[in-house]
Amino acid sequence: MNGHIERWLDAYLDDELEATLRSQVETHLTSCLDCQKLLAQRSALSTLLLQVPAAQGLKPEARFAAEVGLLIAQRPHLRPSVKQELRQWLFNDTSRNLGWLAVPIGLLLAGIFIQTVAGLSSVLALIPGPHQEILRQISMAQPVPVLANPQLWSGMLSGLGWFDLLQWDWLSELLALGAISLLYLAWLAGWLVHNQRRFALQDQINALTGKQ
Amino acid sequence: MNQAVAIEETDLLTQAQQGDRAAFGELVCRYHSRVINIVYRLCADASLAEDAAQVAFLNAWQRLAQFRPTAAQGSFRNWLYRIAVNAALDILRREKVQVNIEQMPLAAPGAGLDASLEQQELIRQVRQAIIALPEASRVVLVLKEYEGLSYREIAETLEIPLGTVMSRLNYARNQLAMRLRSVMEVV
Repeated sequence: MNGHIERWLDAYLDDELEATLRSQVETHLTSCLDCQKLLAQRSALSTLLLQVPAAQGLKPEARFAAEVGLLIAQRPHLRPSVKQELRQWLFNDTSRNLGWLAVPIGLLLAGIFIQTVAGLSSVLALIPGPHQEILRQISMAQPVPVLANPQLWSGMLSGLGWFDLLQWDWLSELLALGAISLLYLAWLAGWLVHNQRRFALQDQINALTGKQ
Repeated sequence: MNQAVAIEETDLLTQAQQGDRAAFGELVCRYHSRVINIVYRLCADASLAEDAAQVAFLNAWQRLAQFRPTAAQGSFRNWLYRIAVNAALDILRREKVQVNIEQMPLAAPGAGLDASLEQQELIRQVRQAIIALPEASRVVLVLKEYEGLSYREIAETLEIPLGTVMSRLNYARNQLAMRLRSVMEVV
């Protein structure tokens, strides 16, 4: 350990250092008079602070508790407001983490969906004849639920112009996957910004405990 | 033993959250001395400390339904300490209390005649130095030196980053070491 160790002395004195760093501090202390002096000063300060007595002449505990009991007797619990409930739900660790996880999972599912449809589209392209006719024959051969009717979806999506899933070519697929990748990168950037404070805290903890 | 106490505290907390005042009274008894100690160290006035502690427990009762022992809010103890610290600082600010160190009792009433004048003067100077610290640093110092909380627990209690705990504590100790240099040399 090079140089002095003032920055670690408080943590050393408070027994907050990880064993390796603690050992390094102790090694340094054996050979550095300045740091020894500083440590002795810090130690003397802690001893001095403990000489200040606690509060004296207080009410007995039972009387204090009884007085608090009287105070709370007329006061019900405050119910959290809708805003507080919503805030708690939004910023609760579990729901927040699930919320953050939902985005990449959604993007992954969208990617899988696009790949599947693109694969299906390629297979259909290998079959001679117009795809719509094949789909029509499929839907006429066996009744399918409205929502599972590929013609319905294909027709609806055709209404969006180029977004006809069953007629996608490699360029459309590439564009869609590129868009998903961009969305993922945007999410990643947001997540990094959101967790910046946590990372900074982790760095501080690592610095404190000497972990890399 | 500790686990048994912890489980019992959880039960008390659950009952208190359901409106059981007796359960809350038991929690008050358990934390009475620790809460009083924190607020007393912050305001250096026993009477004011009792008032602040009562406000803290009242606030805790009213907000009890909102308490969840999550990673964000921490344990009940840390949650209560946070309320106590805020209550003490609010009272100090609202009433603009100017704690007169000169008029503080020099020694505890029970200290008897054996307590030397030098010792009393030393305690007065230390109290004065602590009270002179900025609120933010004083709170961290009190939680560390008098309550023995770890850095992580202090960070959780005050909802501040660990690095801030370290810097505030370092600042407080440097200030105290500077102000009490002459005292420490004598000791």
